[in-house]
Amino acid sequence: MKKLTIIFAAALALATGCTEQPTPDDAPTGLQRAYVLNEGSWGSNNGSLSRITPDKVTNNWFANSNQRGLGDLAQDMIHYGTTLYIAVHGSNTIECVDPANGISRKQIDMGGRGPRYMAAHNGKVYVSCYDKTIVRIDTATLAIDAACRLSGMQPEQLCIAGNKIYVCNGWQYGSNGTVEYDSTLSIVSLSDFSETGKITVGANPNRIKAIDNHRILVACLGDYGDRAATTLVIDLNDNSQTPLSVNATNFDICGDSIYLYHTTYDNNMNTSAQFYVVDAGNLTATPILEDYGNALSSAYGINVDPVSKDLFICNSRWGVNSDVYHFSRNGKLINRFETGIFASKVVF
Amino acid sequence: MNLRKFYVFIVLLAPSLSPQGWAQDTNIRTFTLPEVNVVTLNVPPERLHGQTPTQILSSAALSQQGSTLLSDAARRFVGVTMKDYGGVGGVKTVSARGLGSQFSTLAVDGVAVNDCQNGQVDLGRYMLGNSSYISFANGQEDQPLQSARTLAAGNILNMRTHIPEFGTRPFNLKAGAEIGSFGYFMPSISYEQRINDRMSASFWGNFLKSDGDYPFTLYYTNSRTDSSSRECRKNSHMRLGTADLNFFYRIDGDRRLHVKTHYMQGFHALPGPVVFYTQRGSEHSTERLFFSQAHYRKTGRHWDWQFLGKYQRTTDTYEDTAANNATRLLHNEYHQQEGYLSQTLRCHAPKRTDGHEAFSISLSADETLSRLSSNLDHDNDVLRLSALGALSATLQPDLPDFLDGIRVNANILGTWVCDYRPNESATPWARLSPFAGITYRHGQFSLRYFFKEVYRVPNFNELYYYTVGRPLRPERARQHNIGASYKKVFSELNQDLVVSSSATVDLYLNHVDDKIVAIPLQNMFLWSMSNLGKVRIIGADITGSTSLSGRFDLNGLRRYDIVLDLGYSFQHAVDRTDPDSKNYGHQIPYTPVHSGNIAVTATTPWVDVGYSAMLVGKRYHMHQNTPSNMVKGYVDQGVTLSHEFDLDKCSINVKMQILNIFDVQYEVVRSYPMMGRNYRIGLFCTL
Repeated sequence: MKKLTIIFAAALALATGCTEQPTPDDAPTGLQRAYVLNEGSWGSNNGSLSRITPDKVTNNWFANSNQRGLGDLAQDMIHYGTTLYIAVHGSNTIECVDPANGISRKQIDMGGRGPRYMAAHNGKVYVSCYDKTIVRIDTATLAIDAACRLSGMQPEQLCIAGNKIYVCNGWQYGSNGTVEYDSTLSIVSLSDFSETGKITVGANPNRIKAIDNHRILVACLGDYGDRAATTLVIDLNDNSQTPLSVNATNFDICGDSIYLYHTTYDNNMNTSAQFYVVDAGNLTATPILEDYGNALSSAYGINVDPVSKDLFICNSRWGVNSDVYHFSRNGKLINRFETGIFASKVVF
Repeated sequence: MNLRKFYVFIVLLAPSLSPQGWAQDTNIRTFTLPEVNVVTLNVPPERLHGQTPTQILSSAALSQQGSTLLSDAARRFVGVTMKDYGGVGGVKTVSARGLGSQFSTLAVDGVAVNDCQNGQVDLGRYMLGNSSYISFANGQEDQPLQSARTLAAGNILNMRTHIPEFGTRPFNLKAGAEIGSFGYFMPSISYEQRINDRMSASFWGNFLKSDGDYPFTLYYTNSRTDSSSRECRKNSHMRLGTADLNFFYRIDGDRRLHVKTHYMQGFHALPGPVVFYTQRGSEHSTERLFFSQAHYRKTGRHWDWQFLGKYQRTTDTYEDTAANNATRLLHNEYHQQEGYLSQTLRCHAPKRTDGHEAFSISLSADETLSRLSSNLDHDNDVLRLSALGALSATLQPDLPDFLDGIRVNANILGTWVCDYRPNESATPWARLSPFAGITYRHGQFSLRYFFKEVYRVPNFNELYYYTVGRPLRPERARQHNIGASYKKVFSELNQDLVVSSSATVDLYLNHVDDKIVAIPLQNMFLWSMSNLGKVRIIGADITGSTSLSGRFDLNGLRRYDIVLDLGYSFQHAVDRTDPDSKNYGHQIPYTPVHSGNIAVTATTPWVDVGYSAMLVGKRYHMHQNTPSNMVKGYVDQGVTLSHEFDLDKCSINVKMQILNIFDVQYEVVRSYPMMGRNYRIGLFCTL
């Protein structure tokens, strides 16, 4: 185990470049505080927020602070400026939460749009919505100030690179109830806030993040049939697409390192997850957390603390509380926190 | 009332029947006619001392307590767990003793109602109006001449059609309506015509409408002291029309025929779960159900024969008028068709003087052809051929002394099911499953034990629709039940007062293996199905019943009857799948550990009173039993007052009901609030 950890640490250090000098295993974590978003299960109004301090988790933090719950399907959370923004898909709200005490400064009514994911830039929060729009929220007034119509199917994650928004056009129900998958990204200009073009990618693009100002990473989850999943690095200068050697079910980016996992299931529906760190420069993938493939078989979220470079994995099984695993940058398990239903994201 | 009549009444009906029935209700004459030595189609199963725990509710008693839907009746049975999505129109399904709802079979006059798509039936779409009684048996009914399909059930809910009885007139006509809170309106008409001595026919039509816009309190956390608001259920209206046509033919003393044709058409707005901070109201469903079935039975000194035939057709549509696609419309349409044949041949020793047979052996064969098609690709069409065969034997030898009451009953059921789909190879399942039981009866005391193994072949939704298709095995349930029952009649007390009491206690141990578990795969529209689950259920069902009957005056014209029924159910139904998982040993979702019910009916010359209470303990809506996953327990009480009087040639029945008297805010299914206090008034005229 010791040997493995050293190899692991070395690999991580090599791959991430985030570490100047390997930290000893017993070094205290750099974590001061983290927030875990628990999606909840459909129709149960049990989306919730958990707060993690180095050795303690406080569950139902939002409900305890506000005497009301987050609502149904807490889809995404970002920490921007001095506010935690939480998009609650089922409840059609954006909660603007004070990270110090968990109190909601404002609940923005999204009026049936079905908010999904958020990205922030220059004093604005951009929200992708299932009514096929991106809604812009002004962070000074905490109010909607514009909306941009999209031409694809229901949008999922979005990112901002080089003064443009790139949004995944995911899927929709066809008129007879069959699921249809899109395979494009929409490009939205930040200056006039309108769709200016599209990029064709793999089927069912779902997760997207900017690596730097001219490269984005997009995970296309495939149609669970003939069209396979693929994870692409798109160079925005020449629009070239380079697939990663491993497919990401979900990923996070920290500096030059892409942390990702890939979940698979066998014929008996036993799932397992493989974790990798990918060098954003040469795109070589190095397996990590190999001892945890089974324990984290229901991985549902992966996030890296940008300061400490600690790694947080949400393991969320159907019908039971999730576990958030806190690993040091060296891949050593520091702590494990039981949170709410379907923990999906950790923000710092 | 002569003694024989009284005996039949006590044994068959007393514990659950409205006392009103004893004196004047025509519904029960079917059973109480002393000349019932000819074959009848609808003999209720032995309630108290049967092989399997069986409960019976007569429609008269149910009506007395304000029940109109089959689901109102089903939830009154001890050990039954109801899933109710609220309002008059919300889907209502049952399960019992920790087995999944798909192990519960609904039968109409002994013919099982099949849904090959979902494997479960919404009991909110069947009305009680034309039934004489509802029975519920764990394992199977203790009846001769059963189809293989009813023997294949994990537990069986049976709804029996009212058989016409005629007085001086060759016809009976009953019409009336109920109106109630939140746009509730239910007119119905029943017409029965005597054709000749042997033939009669009946028509029954019923319409039900509810606006469903009832208020409820929405709590924004699990605590009742945090934020809450008063809301109104939206998009919850429904309409349901039912027509039922029956033809009865008593060919001779040994042979009976009953042909039934049934049509139901409904519209249900789908309110969905109550979601914090938002309203949604764009979904609705429509459904059409048609079936026609024939039931023929011949009984003889040594040989009995039964034939069942049925054709059924259903169309279910689901629409969302605010879908995020080009047309804004999502329209799903499913068509099911089923043809069903069943034959049962039974050979038995002649009946002894006490009505029992020394032995009997019977053979049942059922064939079903079901087809599901939809407006999806034709690749999704499925044709299923099922063949079931059952060999049953009963032995009740003449034994000396108190050993005499021993009866042994066993059967073996063979199931063969094969699905045919375009461009796919056929996938057959074949299984054998046994039943064995022994009872001992001594006077009004009896002991019983049974073991039953049941297989449930996966339904089409589990296999083919919005799922990652893996070879699924049938779910397997094993049931053990040991029970005792006792009855005492205190008629010797006083000629003016007859008191009788009965009680049953049953303990059971059930195991479910290869339970089909659905887990959403990345998103809500794609589910993975696997035979992952194991559940162990240890439980107890206890029922008690007391009836008092007396008179106010010497000539017996002013009588009173009071019946008190109590039931308690304990279910420790826990997950036993994976010792490392967080829900290992936890109570399975939506299964209360404690539940019970109380029902009182009192009949007097001035007013008839019915009171019922359902008590359901806390449940969990997810697998892990945490405080945030808890759904609170509740007590729902209702009271019904009615009075019948003659006006000219008519008999008029007026009825007033208060349901959920104490306006308890509760949920059966998380986020689906139930109706608070509501009122109904009814007026029915019988000619």
